[in-house]
Amino acid sequence: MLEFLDSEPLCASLEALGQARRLGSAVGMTVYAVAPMQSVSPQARERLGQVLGHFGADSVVMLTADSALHESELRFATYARALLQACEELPPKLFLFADTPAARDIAPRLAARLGGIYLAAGEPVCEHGVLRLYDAAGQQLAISDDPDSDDMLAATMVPVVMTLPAGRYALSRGSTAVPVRFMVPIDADASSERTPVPGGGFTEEGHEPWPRSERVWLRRPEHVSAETVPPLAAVVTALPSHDRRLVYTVIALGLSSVERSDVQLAVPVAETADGELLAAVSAAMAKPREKSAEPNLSGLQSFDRDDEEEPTPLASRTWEGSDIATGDTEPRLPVSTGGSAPLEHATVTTAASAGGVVTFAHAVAQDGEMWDGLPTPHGDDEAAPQAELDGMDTEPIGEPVSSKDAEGEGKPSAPTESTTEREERP
Amino acid sequence: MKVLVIISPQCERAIAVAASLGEPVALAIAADDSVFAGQALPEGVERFRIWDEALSPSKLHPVDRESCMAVVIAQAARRLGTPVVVLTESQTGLLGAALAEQLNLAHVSEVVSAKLQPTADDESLLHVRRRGLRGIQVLCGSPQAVLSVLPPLTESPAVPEVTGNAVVEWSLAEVSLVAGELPAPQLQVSAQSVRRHRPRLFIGAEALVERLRRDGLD
Repeated sequence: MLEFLDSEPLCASLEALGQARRLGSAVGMTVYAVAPMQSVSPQARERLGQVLGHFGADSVVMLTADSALHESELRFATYARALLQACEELPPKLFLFADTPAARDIAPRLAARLGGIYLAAGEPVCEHGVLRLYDAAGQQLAISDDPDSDDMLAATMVPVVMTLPAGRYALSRGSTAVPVRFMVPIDADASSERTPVPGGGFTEEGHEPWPRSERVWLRRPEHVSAETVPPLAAVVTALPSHDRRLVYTVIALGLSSVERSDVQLAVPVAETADGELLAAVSAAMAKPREKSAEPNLSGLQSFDRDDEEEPTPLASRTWEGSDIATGDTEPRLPVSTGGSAPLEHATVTTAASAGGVVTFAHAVAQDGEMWDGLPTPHGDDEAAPQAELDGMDTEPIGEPVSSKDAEGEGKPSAPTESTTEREERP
Repeated sequence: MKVLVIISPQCERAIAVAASLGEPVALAIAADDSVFAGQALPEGVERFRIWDEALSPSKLHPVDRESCMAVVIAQAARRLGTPVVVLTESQTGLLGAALAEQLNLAHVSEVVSAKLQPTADDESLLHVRRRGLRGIQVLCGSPQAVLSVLPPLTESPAVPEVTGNAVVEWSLAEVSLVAGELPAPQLQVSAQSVRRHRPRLFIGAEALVERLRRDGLD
């Protein structure tokens, strides 16, 4: 399920869609992108099949809400009937959300309603053709009492609803527009005990502004009281940061952040340069938002299949990286409007520059439009951070690096020593 | 109005919300009474504690434990007759939604404050402020709900033990349950290795801020 802002899908939602695409291709599941209709303008709706098809969906399901329930924030109650209707018609094995405040409201209630499992900030991966689930602590989980089943979908005998942390997965990119279907719920019996939200449901009465400085902490305020609303994101430099009170991102600065697993987004700089970077972040945030980059959809095939035809992930679609089993190695490249050449990875220079900030001699995007940041500088200098800047999914720490990583994208990975060992186990 | 507040770590804001709505009734799922120590419960608050070995955190994955707790708390809420349940958002994040599903009530997550407002027809409306991506959403509904409250950012100062009602200890039987009626565990840790991730790295402030904006944080 995707969340939208100004009719554009959140980047974190597209990452979740990308991971769904890779899993779908690896284990043969169809990927439905679920979109709340009121979050998308009528103009954007016309292109939604193209856009979400581009980013990995096999089909798009638009949820219609009771117009009286249209709210400024996405909640379970707003789209419950349509969502449950969709789950009844298209029973999900795996239901992924980006980890946002809305997802934290919708996902657990949906899991409870479906009789499924809810994993907050979890991780679904495909290993050796089998879907594996990990919880927020990184522990591999087995569902039911048959953890060694060879069934590739054994992990999803019951529906699993997960939120995925922002920044962990690469976007997926395809080339086909996909069908869009509208999910209009059959109005349930209001007296039923199983209506999504019984008579005591809540409706929006107002919406209070929340200053950005309070939503994203660049520095912890001097006065924090028991009434202070926890921010959505915060910058940390040294202290332990993993805290689920922060929803979206924990931004770490400092070279040491490169190896940290308790943060989601990081900027590696020399420890002495934190102040300068904070000032730069603050200045960048103060700038007005520029028009976002539009994905290049000019080469997409149009959708011309029969509406009744069920979408399938195997139907003559081309997916970059769709043969990647784990979904953890696909580089992310900028989405451009002008057909620019892929960016080359650049070298990393060490912290010799002014102010101790590590600077990267990076290639510049020809059109300047990209999803987030400049390309990953892979350098030879071991003193520099092992940067997986932009474009790479965040690989598990300690996992062996596959030959694919070493040799570049597009080549099949040779089994590593550890994978061989695992395959040899009875 | 009686309000059931679930005692757990970092539940100071939940207690404050419950106290602002009516007469709190404290309930803990814990092995001993120490969970009540240091909690800023108003004087005279009824305290209940339910325990059974089947609820031991050492035996269950946190998701399974919260599923079981939801069933137990729902039964306790029915017995105590509390139309509003206030609890603290946990890392696992399931309890509030599962409890609302058990009680067939509305669930409001990410709550930062709440108040009751009387209406002209001698009833009350529950006004809840909750954190959203775009701002603070104010919701209004009848006072029958499960409120999942955000934990506070501050460690509350040590609160002197308030002499009040003794803790009433309940077994599962006293909420009309037996261990076999609790949801069966669905999850088990199947490998000892732990999967960890490096953060996604950005080359500088502009790139980072652009990403944050694409996630709605501008």
